[in-house]
Amino acid sequence: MRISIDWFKEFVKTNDSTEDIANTLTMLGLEAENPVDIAQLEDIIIGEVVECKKHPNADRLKQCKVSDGKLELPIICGAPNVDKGQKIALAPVGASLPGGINIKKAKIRGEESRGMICSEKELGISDEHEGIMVLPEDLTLGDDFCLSFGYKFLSVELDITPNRPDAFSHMGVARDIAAATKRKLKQTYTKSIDPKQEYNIDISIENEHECPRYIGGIIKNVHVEKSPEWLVDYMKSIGQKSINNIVDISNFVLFELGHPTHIFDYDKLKEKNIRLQIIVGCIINLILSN
Amino acid sequence: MNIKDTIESVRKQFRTDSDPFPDDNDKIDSLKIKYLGRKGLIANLFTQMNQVEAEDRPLFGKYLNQLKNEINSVFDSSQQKDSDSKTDQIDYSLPGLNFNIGYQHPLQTTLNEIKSIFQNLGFSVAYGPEVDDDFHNFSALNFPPEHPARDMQDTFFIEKDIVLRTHTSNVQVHLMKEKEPPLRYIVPGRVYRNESISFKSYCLFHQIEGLYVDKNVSFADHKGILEYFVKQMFGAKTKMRFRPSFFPFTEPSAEVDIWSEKRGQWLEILGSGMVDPEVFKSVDIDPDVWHGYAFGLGIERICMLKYDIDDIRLLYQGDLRFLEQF
Repeated sequence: MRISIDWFKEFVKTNDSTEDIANTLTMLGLEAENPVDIAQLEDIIIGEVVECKKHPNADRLKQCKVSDGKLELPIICGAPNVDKGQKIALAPVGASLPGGINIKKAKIRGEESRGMICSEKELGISDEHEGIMVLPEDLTLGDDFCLSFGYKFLSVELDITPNRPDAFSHMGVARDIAAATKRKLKQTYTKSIDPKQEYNIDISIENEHECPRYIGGIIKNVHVEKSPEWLVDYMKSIGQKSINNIVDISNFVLFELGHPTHIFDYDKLKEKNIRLQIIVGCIINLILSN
Repeated sequence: MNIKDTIESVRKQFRTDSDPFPDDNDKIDSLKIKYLGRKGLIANLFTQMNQVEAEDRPLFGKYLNQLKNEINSVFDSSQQKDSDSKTDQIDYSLPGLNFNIGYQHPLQTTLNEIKSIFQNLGFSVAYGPEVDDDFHNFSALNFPPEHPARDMQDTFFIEKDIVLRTHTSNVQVHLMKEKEPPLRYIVPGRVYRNESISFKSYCLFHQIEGLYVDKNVSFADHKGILEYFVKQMFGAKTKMRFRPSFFPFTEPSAEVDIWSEKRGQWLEILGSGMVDPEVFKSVDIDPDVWHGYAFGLGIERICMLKYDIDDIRLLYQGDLRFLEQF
């Protein structure tokens, strides 16, 4: 289970470093491994691509000018998605990246390059290496990447033992941290709504002693679209790919509260019924008639 | 004189010449040359072949070959006798054969060391079966059939309910069933896991199980014993910690890590805990009267830490270049 530090801070306020949090969790019995410690990336700053054209001597390379707020640096970039006007993570000459990469002044196919535009993989955030990481536009040029944006991706990988299913969520882990560090646990905000019986849906459970309760609801006026940026970043920070707003919100609830949900398209349910079959243990079969 | 008579006369002549068979090499050689040489009597008879009628030639050839074989075999058997008598002679001045010096396998050295530490503390050594049933390997240790902890170990199944043991903890169950408490045992043995082979895991490895059951046993006793063991094994200044963990057959459970200055990290060396009352119940020991602790340590892991070996496979390859270093 990957826990995003930024995410679980919504439940418990702490300024502890990722390493300290990992230690606390380990000594609580939630063994923390491989913390993604972006704090090591102290040399990376926010930059902007101010010019981007094809490299004169190479088809797949681009010759860019990147501003760090003061200077415009010539940088050769091989990413297919690099473009003028993007805010990017800039590794200037002298910077070092995870995996022992040191940025030096170089000539690439005869053209000068003084720095690197980083991909998520190079920053240690994810395995994404197809293109560079494009940052939100409101960041200030020359600012420290970690302090202004990278902190969102600090995380720890927890090896959770079978007796601790309660810790399979950010809320669950925050509960432990709050108790261990004597801090207050912020409760999730919930609001009850009056259900209106405008639509009918029939839910039946085959063996009720195995599944005493199943809750469903209908949400109207839903548009399937891209998730908002904060949700995309949350998903990214725990190593999940953002699919769309519907899939992501279901995953969001699962990773935040540890409660699984399923979302179906009401319009595609012909007979408007959901039938549950419980097969030995905890495998739940949902039978939808569509 | 017909050809057949000539052959017979040569045969008679050879029999006279070769009886008694000469014991002098020169005489044997000259006898051989007389009969079997390039210009010897047999070769001479072969040259007479063209004087024989065509239809008689096969018969003539047959007689002649019989004679040649007879003479050959006499020489052969004499040579055989000769070499037989030579091997009977022993050269007492030859140097003896060298035997390679054997080395104790590092795993055995580690095992002996661990055993002696616990034996000094009053633990006896017990052994148990490597092929065991589901009850001893899982059920009695509080792994019910659907328990997710069974996923932690990938098991080799012999039959539906017979497995290659995945830990030496199965012997805990045997001991508690067969003997009356108090119990104080260590159990060394080989265990099997269905894991892909890499530098850090192998399909088999060795564990030592420890079991202590008595009336007044606390977690403090347990910590004390393991602390003593770590300091004996790795040196008095070793930094160690108990880290909370989970095993179905102990409650509470802890894993023990030691600090590696070289790698700058904690390294897990053993798992342990207080025997879960459910385990006592399944072997008919009253958990209200008896308490106990158990621990299991991987011999390979300790051996690799102690001797700074970085690939577990080296321990099973029997490569002398590796083994001679211990």
